[in-house]
Amino acid sequence: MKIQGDLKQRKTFMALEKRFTQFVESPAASVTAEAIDGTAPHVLPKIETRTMSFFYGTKQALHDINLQIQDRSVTALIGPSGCGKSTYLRSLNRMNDIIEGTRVTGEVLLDGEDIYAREVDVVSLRKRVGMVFQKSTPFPKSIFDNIAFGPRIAGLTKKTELQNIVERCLKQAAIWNEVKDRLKESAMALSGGQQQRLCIARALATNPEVLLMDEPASALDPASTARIEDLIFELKQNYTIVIVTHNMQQAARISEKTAFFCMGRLVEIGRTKQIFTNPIQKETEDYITGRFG
Amino acid sequence: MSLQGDLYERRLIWRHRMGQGFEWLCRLATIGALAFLLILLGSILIKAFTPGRGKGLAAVSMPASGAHDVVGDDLSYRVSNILGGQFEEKDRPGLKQNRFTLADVQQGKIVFNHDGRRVAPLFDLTIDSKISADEASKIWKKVGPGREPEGVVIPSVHLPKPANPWGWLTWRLLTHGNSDDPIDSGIMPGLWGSLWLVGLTTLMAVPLGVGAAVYLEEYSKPTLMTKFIQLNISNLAGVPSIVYGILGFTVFSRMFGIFDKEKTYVEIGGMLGLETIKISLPLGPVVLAGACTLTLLSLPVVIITSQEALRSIPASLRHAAYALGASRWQTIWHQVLPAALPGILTGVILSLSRAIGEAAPLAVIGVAAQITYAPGKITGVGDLVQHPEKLIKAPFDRFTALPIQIYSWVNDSVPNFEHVAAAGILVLLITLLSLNGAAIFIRQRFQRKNHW
Repeated sequence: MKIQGDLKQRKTFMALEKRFTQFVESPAASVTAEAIDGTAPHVLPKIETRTMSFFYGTKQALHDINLQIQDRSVTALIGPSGCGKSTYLRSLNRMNDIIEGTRVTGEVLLDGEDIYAREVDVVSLRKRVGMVFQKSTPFPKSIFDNIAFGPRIAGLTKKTELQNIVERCLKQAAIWNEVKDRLKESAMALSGGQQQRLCIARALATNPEVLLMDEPASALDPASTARIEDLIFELKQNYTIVIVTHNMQQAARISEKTAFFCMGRLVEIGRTKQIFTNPIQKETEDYITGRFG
Repeated sequence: MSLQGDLYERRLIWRHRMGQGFEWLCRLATIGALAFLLILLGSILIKAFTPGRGKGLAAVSMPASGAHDVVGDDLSYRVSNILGGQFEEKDRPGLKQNRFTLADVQQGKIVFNHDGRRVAPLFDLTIDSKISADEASKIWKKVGPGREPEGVVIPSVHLPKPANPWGWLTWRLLTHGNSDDPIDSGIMPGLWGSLWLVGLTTLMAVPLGVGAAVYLEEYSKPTLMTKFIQLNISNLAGVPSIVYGILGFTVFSRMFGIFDKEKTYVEIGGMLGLETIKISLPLGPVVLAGACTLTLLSLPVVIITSQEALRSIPASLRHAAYALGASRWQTIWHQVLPAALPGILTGVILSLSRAIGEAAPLAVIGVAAQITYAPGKITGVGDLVQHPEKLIKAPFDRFTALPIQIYSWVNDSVPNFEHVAAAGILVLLITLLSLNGAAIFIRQRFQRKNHW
């Protein structure tokens, strides 16, 4: 195509080309660079933790974490075993409250409001912030009842509405075609990869705003892992996703931002591409190149 | 000893041999246990289906063959030390005869009145007249049917008709009340009493037990108080049942003696168009008192097994439910309890099986063994439809239970009651198995629904 015409047309074309290149290169197609960095002034981070520390009894597991997670993006938390990434993830929807003797100091803000405030209803928080666990845990009921559980306990009982929700979620989780004619059969009869996608669909049924994923594909074979990664790629257009992963290639593939945790501290956070090609901290570089962890 | 070489090889042979021996020991243990069960069941079945000893008059006759040398015209017999009845003249019943002649027997004038205490009578027989010139009267001791000394003709005592030729587990047994005659005796009051008892006990014990287990497992924090409660519940599971009987007697039957001064009445009913019923306090040995006592008896076992069932549900199930925005009671009600139901039902089956067979606590409460009606005097479905208030009266009515009736039959000295008792035991076992079967069926349904 001959680039001709007046200057205005050429400038427009160059701008378009630049945008296109950025789109092709960056893994996030829907979020601008400024939004990722958090430097865009008017964008409120979806989740923000300010000097957050976490204690298991007297043992301190997290030290002064300052982290911002932007809306409709994928943030990966990486780090060696026992560094506190899962603890951090679980405190974002207050799942650590179930464990006895845990304590959180500092602030954890969802849309600017502290979720550990006294008047916060944990039940409705967990409806807004869903979670997918490492080992898929479908309920020992039918596939339909698994997905419908969340809406049902929230009060939705109309059969047609539930059926719509189940269909929508199973389609979003890319498992609808495989199970659409056996919705009443047991969820335990599905394969591992299917069960995990079912758990993702189940988490989507409550219409959350945030999805927390704790190593969702670590127990799966490469083919299922690839499907789940595609799924996350689709979902990030509508949901904020925070994913803990041991697999650095996975983090590089799907996330825009990566945070590196080590021994309960947030060592470095930045754009994924930069973390994996040009990390600032030495610890990050050591971990990524495999010198430890 | 190194891991290679000759020592290892020899030891290996020894290990394999020990393995086989161990397996055989376990096999023998199973066979032994099975043998005991079969012997027990076999003896009960035999007892319940043997005809039993008959009573009444039976003929005395002379056997067809047999040579005798009689000196003189007639043989005369003398009997003594008779066990199992008496010889009587046919025309003069009730009068004991100890001497009779051959002619009497041949003409059918002598009969034997079996009293039902033995299968066959036994007596000492003396022949008075001379059989031969040289012999004096001979005594043949302990003669009875089938025990004939040689060469002499002994009168044959026939056996009376068996008491119950078709076995003792009959429809009559299931539909009639108790009576003096073993053939007319029935287990109906005990059967209905036990069914009422089991029903009320289940209704009371299951919610209380499962609720307590849910609280202890899901809600309570492990403080000193809860540990103390836990310890006490475990201890209560081993308390002998008669202690519960004494407790039940004081609390439910006699109600601490509060109402001893004067008779007090409580009126219940009056709803759904039914007439009000007057219940007198204290309750006394009624179905409700028995059911409350048995509830206390089964509660510790239900609580402990339900706790175990709840504990066996992995925490991941609860976490998954919480992560979806379920509140704690919703998680328990919708996920944990349905998943734990098979284990809970097993505990319920176990404790109810124990409760249905308990006679001691009921006896202490004062439950009678001789009652001729079912609780509430309900005689059938039609009766119930006509008088629905009988259903409310029934828990406050006196009753008897299967184990108590069986016990009273075993102790009864009238012959043949041990057969009735054996048949009663069979009824108890069949009831138990059907209740267990029903509970297992429910458990299977829930297991299928929950696809664990």
